[in-house]
Amino acid sequence: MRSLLLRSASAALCLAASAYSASAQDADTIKIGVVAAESGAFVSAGHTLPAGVGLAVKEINDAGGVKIGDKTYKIELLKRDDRTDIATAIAATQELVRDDKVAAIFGSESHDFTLAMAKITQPAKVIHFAGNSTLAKVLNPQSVAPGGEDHYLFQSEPQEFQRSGSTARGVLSLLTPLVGHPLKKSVVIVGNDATGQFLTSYYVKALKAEGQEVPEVIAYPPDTTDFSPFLTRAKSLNPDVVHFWYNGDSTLTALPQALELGVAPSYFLFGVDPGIWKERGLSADVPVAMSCVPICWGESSNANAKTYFSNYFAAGAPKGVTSSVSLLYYDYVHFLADAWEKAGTLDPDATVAALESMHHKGVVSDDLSFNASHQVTHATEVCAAAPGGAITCAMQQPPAEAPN
Amino acid sequence: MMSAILQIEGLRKQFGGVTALAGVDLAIQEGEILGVVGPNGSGKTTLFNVVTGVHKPSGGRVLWHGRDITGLAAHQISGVGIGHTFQQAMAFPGLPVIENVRIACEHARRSSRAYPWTTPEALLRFVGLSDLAGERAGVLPFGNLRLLGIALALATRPSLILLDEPAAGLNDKETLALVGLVKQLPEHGISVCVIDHDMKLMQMLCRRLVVLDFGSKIADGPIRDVLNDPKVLEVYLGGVL
Amino acid sequence: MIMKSSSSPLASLLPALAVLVVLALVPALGPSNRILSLAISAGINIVALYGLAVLFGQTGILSMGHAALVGVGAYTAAILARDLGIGFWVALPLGSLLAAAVAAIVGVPSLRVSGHHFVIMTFAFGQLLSIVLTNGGAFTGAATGLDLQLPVTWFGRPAGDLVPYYFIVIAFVAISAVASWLIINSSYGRTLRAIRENEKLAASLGINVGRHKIGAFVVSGLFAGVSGVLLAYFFRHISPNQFSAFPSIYLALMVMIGGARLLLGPIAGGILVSFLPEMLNLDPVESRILYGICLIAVILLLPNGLIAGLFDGLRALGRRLVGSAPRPNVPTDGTSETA
Repeated sequence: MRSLLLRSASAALCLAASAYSASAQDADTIKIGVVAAESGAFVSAGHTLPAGVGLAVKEINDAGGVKIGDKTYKIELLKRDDRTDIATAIAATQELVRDDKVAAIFGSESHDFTLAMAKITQPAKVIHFAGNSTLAKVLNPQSVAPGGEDHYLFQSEPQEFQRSGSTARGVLSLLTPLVGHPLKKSVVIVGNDATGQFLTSYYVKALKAEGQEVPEVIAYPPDTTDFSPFLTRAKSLNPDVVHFWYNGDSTLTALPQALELGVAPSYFLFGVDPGIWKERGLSADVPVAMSCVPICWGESSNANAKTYFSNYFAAGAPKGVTSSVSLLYYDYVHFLADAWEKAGTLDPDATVAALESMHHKGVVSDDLSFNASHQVTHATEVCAAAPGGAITCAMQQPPAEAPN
Repeated sequence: MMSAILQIEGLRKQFGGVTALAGVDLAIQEGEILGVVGPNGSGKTTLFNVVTGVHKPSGGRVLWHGRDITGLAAHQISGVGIGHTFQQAMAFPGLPVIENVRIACEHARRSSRAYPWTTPEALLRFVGLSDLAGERAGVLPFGNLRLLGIALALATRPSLILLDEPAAGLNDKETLALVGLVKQLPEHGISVCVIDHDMKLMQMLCRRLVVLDFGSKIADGPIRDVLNDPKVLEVYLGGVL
Repeated sequence: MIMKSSSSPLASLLPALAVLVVLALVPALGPSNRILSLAISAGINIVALYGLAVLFGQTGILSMGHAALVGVGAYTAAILARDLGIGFWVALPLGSLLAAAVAAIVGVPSLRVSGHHFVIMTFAFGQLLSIVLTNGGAFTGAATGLDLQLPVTWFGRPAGDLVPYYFIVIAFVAISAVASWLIINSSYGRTLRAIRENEKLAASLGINVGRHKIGAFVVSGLFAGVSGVLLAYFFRHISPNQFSAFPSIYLALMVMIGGARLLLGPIAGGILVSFLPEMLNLDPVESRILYGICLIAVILLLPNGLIAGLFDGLRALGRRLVGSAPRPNVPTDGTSETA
């Protein structure tokens, strides 16, 4: 029975494959792919990718398409769900690269998956954008040089020391007036997985560079739902601010528990948009700061953001904890389209050269450009909710250099 | 001339504060069928477990053909030539009967002398289970399980076999068949020691009897004498005599 | 005197070989690269599953830390490549042996602790490995993991592409199946089954139960290590959480659903768990519900797994078609795996 199923599945896919292999890049279409977690544990970040990329593609196509030479191309978007499973992410990437022959891939938000996917996209010269700051571990001037193993890979999120620096500045500058006295001691609580480990080291350095004493970083196992032991420990350290790092769902589970235990006079939540704060009618008796990745929805000091998000949600995207992650992809679809037009060709090497030389005006920043390691620089927005409910936001520029 | 193949000297076993064996001396002669009886709590099960390697004794020795085997582990006991069955009639339930015996044969010790049953088929023929060779051991009726247990113990080529309550749960017909089998064993060079509390079975099988009570030996000799021993009668007052 | 006729050992190997031949022909049907990629992932799991089948199916020891042993193989491959330039073919035996050695260590507590308690210990061990890897600094790549750069070659020609790699994986699945078959039909396999069925009795017959249990772990580790090296060279990026609790649970699930005692069991379990969500387009939550249901169904209705249940069903169907009288006491796992 099982072999019958396998045979019929193979036959069906054989037909589908033959349909695909005929097309490659059809005459007037450019194919790009998105691989993201549309289901599974990472869905809160995952679904924002196809939504953000989809919005940009629609805008480009509605405005006429991409003009290369004397031809105009429409963009066809292929979405693939990786189900928060690495084998599926790889299979999806193989499919997009070899069967669908896409010119570019966006995704995924999971560090492990991106690195595994890059092993497939880079040899095939498929331009690959991913918003994982952990890519800094593999991106350097040698690896992105022509002929380097990551020449076609771009990190659409600022380097971590920049994001951490910008965030730390924003958090402290917004919370200090709300708390009413100088903030001296910070405790960081983080999920102990790849991203958590990586991000924390930078954030702690950034806090210290801003003069904070950080007596301890408390790590919890990623699937934790009962944070009381960790919160009690934090409270015993008498912090002025407790910083919850990474993965908005865990953070929003932990916050009520922290408020109940009265752990600190103020809190910071990484990766929670004020939009969600308002949507869910959340409130606290102490000031709570929240950072967005990279710009906030629901309340923002960035004028472009309001327009973007109203279009984004109008197109049907759900209002999620980290809907702002979509911006890590949206701007770069436009950037890529502009690069193709400037290069006058779809050739991957010429496109990369164009991307490396251009400055793009996007939502997250008026001046987006890639440095020698294919990384961008811009500020990260932080908002703070006062106990009464009023929300203020600010974007503090990142430090020029990493603190040591 | 009969000689002692198994010599138990001053065997003691303590479980915490409880003395299960208080210094037992016992010898099994070559070619005999010895019976060891005693009421519950007499220590006969503990004696059995110490000899078969389940427990280590607290004191005393066990000598096998003059060699000290005190404290050997359970899997080493069959290697020296001592086989045994279990009170609960054990088998490998999910496997066919013939495979049960084949496994036992594959772990038989190498014995220098010729052994009467060296193949699984021969063993099943001897105990009368050939018809059930392909059946799963787990579905065998109890009586057949007992026979299988004997086949398994014999497969390891023992020169001494210890039987723990071998007829418990058997009806009269099955008991007679079992007795018939066991009585053949000494002719094939296999000495037998039966541990039980069923006096009728002992009378059918054994010529010599050892009686234990509270961890000590209270009688040892030809069965008729032992059964008339006043000490023994006292212990079994109102019992199964 | 009717002796139940039993099938020869070769008869149990033939269905598995037939299936393997069919699987080897799949690339000729022109499947999409997506399907090939998923098939390779499934094949890598199946190699590990054969190891788990020896441990669980034959010896009766359930391990919820099997993915950790796969991880040992994978990390060995990645570290050897990075630090010593050792490539795929040499990494295979080395990863296999190291995983086997680690497996022996995991096996030692099983001598003192049994049943449910031991299962929890294997689970804890799996988590322990994850912690060690996460906190291993630059040597293990910590939580970020390690990348594998070396290519796979076959007599000088590149073999890292999907189709060649698929054949390599199928070859290892075949080797695993044959190795399992040899174990199952040998006196060693019978000894393991004896331990599974009745440890006390096995000991009384001269079987050194403790040594064989550790041996079974070592064997399971050999398979897992190979699977790990295949995995590392396929994903080319490995990290601790690929080898932690959930992957271990999935492996145990696959072997239970497919059937731990039959030769086709691991193949069925591996393909089912990899492809069913794909074919029915289930998201992970739905998949887990489906697996949970499958597992419950298997435990209640088909305790020997899906494949055994299938064979029994076909046998019953065959008998009804031929019109023969129903046979009493049809053994299932016993005769189907022995001479």
